[in-house]
Parts: sequence; C-alpha cells; structure tokens
Amino acid sequence: MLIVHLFRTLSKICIFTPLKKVFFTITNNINPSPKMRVNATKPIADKLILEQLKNSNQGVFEIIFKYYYSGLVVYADQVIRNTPVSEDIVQSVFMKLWETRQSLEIRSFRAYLMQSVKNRCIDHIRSQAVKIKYNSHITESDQFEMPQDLWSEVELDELLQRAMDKLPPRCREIFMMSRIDKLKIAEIAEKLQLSGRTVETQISKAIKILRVELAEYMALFIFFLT
Amino acid sequence: MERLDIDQLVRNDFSGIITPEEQQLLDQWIGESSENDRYYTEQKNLLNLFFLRQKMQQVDEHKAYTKISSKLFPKNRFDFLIQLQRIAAILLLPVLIVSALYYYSDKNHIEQFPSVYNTVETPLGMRSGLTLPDGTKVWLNAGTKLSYPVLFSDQYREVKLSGEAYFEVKKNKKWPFIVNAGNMNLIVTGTTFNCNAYPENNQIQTVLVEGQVTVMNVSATWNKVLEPGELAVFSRDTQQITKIKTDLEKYIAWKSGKLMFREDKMNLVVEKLQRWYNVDFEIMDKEISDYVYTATFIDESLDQVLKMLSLSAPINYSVSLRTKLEDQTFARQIVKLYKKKI
Repeated sequence: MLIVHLFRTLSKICIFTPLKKVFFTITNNINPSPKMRVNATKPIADKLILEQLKNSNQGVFEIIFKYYYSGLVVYADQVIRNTPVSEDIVQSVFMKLWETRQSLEIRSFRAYLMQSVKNRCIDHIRSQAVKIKYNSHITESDQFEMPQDLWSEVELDELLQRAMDKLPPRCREIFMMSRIDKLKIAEIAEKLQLSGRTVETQISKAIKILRVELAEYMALFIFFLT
Repeated sequence: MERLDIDQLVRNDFSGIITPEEQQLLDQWIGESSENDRYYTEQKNLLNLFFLRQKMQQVDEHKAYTKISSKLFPKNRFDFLIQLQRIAAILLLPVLIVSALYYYSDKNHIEQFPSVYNTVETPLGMRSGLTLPDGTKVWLNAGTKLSYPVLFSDQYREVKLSGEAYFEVKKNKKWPFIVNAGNMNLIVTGTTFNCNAYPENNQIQTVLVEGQVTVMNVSATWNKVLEPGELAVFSRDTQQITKIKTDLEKYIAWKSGKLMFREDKMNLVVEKLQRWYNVDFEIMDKEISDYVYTATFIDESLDQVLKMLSLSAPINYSVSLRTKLEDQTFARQIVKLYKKKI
C-alpha cells in the first residue's frame, strides 16, 4: 500500500522520473489483495526508499514522512496521551532518520519507525516519571504496552472505507452518524425520525458486518485506549 | 441479555460514558464465557479502529513537515530567497524598462534639441530684442538674423549671427557662450559686447563693453583676447584680426535708438542709413563717398536726416516717390545723392 501511495504521490509530483518508472514496474507486480497484511511492507520498496534517502532525495523523505506521520503520532499518543508531545517525538525520530541517512541499515521502515518511536516514548515516560518522582512500576520498559501494529492514515482509511462499502446504505448512514459524527442514539433517532431501538439495531447490524470484514485486523488489536 | 444491549454497553464502555451499573452488567456478561470475552474484545477493537482513524485525521502531517523541513533543509529558506529574488526581479523589470526609457528619451532630448534652431530676424528699418533660453539678452539691429538652439547643449551655448547684435551674456564660467559670425567665432563667458557681422561687409567688428571676449577664426589658428573698450576687426578676406582702442559709444548707440556717426566715411553712413530706414541710396557722384561725416540722430525721420545731411555737407538729394507694386506693397524708396554744385 505504501508503494501504491508512493506511486500516486510521485506521479502527482512527477519530478523523480527515473524513480517513478521503477515504482511503476513494482506496483504492476503487486497483487492488490485486500487481505494483504499491511505490516508486511514489500522489502523492495523499503530498499528503494533507503537508496533514495542515501542519495539525499528530499522528495522521498517527504513522502515517507507524510505517509507515516499521523499514524505514528496516534501510535505514540496511545501511551503519551499528549498529542503535541507525541508529535515532537515523531518529528525527532524523522529528523534523526534524515540526519543519519547515510549510515542507515533498514530492512523495514515501518519496523524501524515503530521501534524508534517506541524507544523515544519509553525515554519520555521515564524522564517524566523521574521528573514527577513518580515512583511507579512503569519505569520498566516491559511493563507498558505499545500497540503491536502501526497503521498509517492512508492504510486505515482504505481499510475502513472498503469495509464500510460492504454495509447497506441505511445501515452505513446510521453507523457513520454514530461513529464518525459522534451522535448519540437518541440524536440519530430524532434526526432520522426513527425509534431508538431501530437505530441501535442498525448500528449492531453494521458492527456485525464490519466484524466479518475486518476480522483479520481485529485480532491484531490488543491494546486499548481506556 | 440481548446482543443489542451488549453492543450498547460496549460502546458506552468505549466512549467512557458507561454507568457503574452498566459496567457491572457488562463485566458479568463478559465473565459468563470466553466467547463473550472475545466478542467484547473484538467489538472494542472495531470501535478502536474508527477512533484511531479519527485521531489520525486530526493530525496535520503537512504542517509538521513544513516545520521539520525548515529545520532539516535550511536550503529551503534559501530557495525561498531565490524565489523572492525572482519575484523581485520580475517586479523590477518594468521599473528598469521604464527608467531606461526615461533615461534614453532624456538623452535624446538633450542631443536632439540643439539641432532644432529658433531663428529671429529683424527686417530692415526695425530693431528688436530678445532673451535667450539661458537668460542672455540680445538686441538685434535692423536686417539681422540670429539662430539659437531651442535648448543649449550642456557643453556650450552657441548662436549664429548674421548682422549686428548687442549681447549681454548671462555669466556662467563653465558654460561658454559662442557667437558664430560666419567665418569668425566669439567665445565669451559673462560679457557685454556688440558684434557687427553683416554678411555683405568684409569686416566683422566686435567691441567689448565689459568682461572678456576671445575672437578667433573658425579654424582657430588666430585668436585675440579683447579688453573692455577695444575693437576687434576681423577681415573675412585675410582671416586676420586686428584690435584697437576705440570709442564704444559709436558702436553701441544703435541699441538705444541713436544713429551715431563719428568721422565716418559717407559710404558707411549710407550703408547704415539704408538699414535704419529701409531705403536704397544711390551715390551719383563718386566724390561723395569720401566725405567724412559726424552726427547723432535720435528718432529723426528719413527726411529730417537727409535735410541735416544736405546742410552739413555739400550734398543734394532726391527721394523717389513711393510706387505701388503689383502685390499692393510699396517698393523701397530710392534716395539719390548728388554733389552740390556751387
């Protein structure tokens, strides 16, 4: 998916012509299976990205940054719980990525970025813990959990959109009102002139379908926000 | 408990709006079976996916990239400067063109105007005066032509004179004033002088009232510096300049409307009278030409002048009648001078 995204962005920018050609051949070889595990980025794409980074290709750096940034911020924020701090952490990781690009040996950017952000989060929490003299158990790194998976915004968008497309229209409308517009059951019922029960039924129906559609990804989430 | 209610409880739980009673109900239901537990987990995961997406949408990666790239690529700031320079250059271009046009058109003005000449001409029998663009005052005697550029060049002020003129040149040492009188040039700075350069005369007479005048021939091989009160006579034939002390009055009287003769030969008197009154004289007896004459006339008519002339010298005269020409103008009168027969 990163490759597809890279290709799309590149074809929009149209400035890295040789690179674009390479990506084009790669994307043609990709089997666009919807069940493709997002976290299994094709190593060849990462290899190309690394090569371009070592050539100080700022355009490729920008693409990677924009592709992973919001996902990483949300990822970090699940333990940091302070979005500006999480943004700083992710930005510092990217700055280090650029500054050390010449000596990098990266197989998977996703894994590299996840690990880097994770480490920085741990550092941050530790320093915070020291600061507030928080004599607690979380000073041990094993003891706080980070999500196992990193989603980029584009990936999540596509995944959810694809799942949502499977919903019947009415059902999707009600589900989106409840989940995306954050409306309460009573508000939706009032807006659509339906009984609260009907709205609940529709939402449950939507979740049922989505559960099936997203079954593969649901199991991956073991981390909770509350 | 129904699934629908459980879903509602899970959502409330996820949104953090679950009441303690509901929480108790939910916990109880989860504890009932491992299947329930899994259902709860999966339900929460699903909600979490949507929640994560919403959070991601709130993160502005473009803004963040601008921030980080300004730190990482200071060249970007340089690029911005280059952009600014380009914009500045584009904006400056019309200014340059306009100013260049102004500059060159200005130059053209200065270079072109000197070639545009004003010519002032006084007819015979009339005198006039004018002020040149630089402030110099000029009096023109009868039958005189003066050409001067509409705008003097910035190196010198040059006028062309044919006839007789009295100059009061505006002082400017760095801007010489040149009178071109046929074959002779007068170079002055700030002076008052009279120059008599009628083309029909062989001599060009220049008298200096005040200041300094350099008289030179066109090829600049001869030159004389005049002191006030001196007369320079330039001979067109020999290209020689001679200078003598003289009585200025006689040479500049015409300016104040006086006709003055001081021991002048009759042919010079006649020549002056011809211009002064716009008449033709004919000297019928050669002897008369050698008569020497002294007189001063102020505002006298031709008749009075001739009467005076006949009284003080052995001269008779006759004046032709005014005859009308075909174009209804009058022909010049002809005055004939005869030797008085005693």
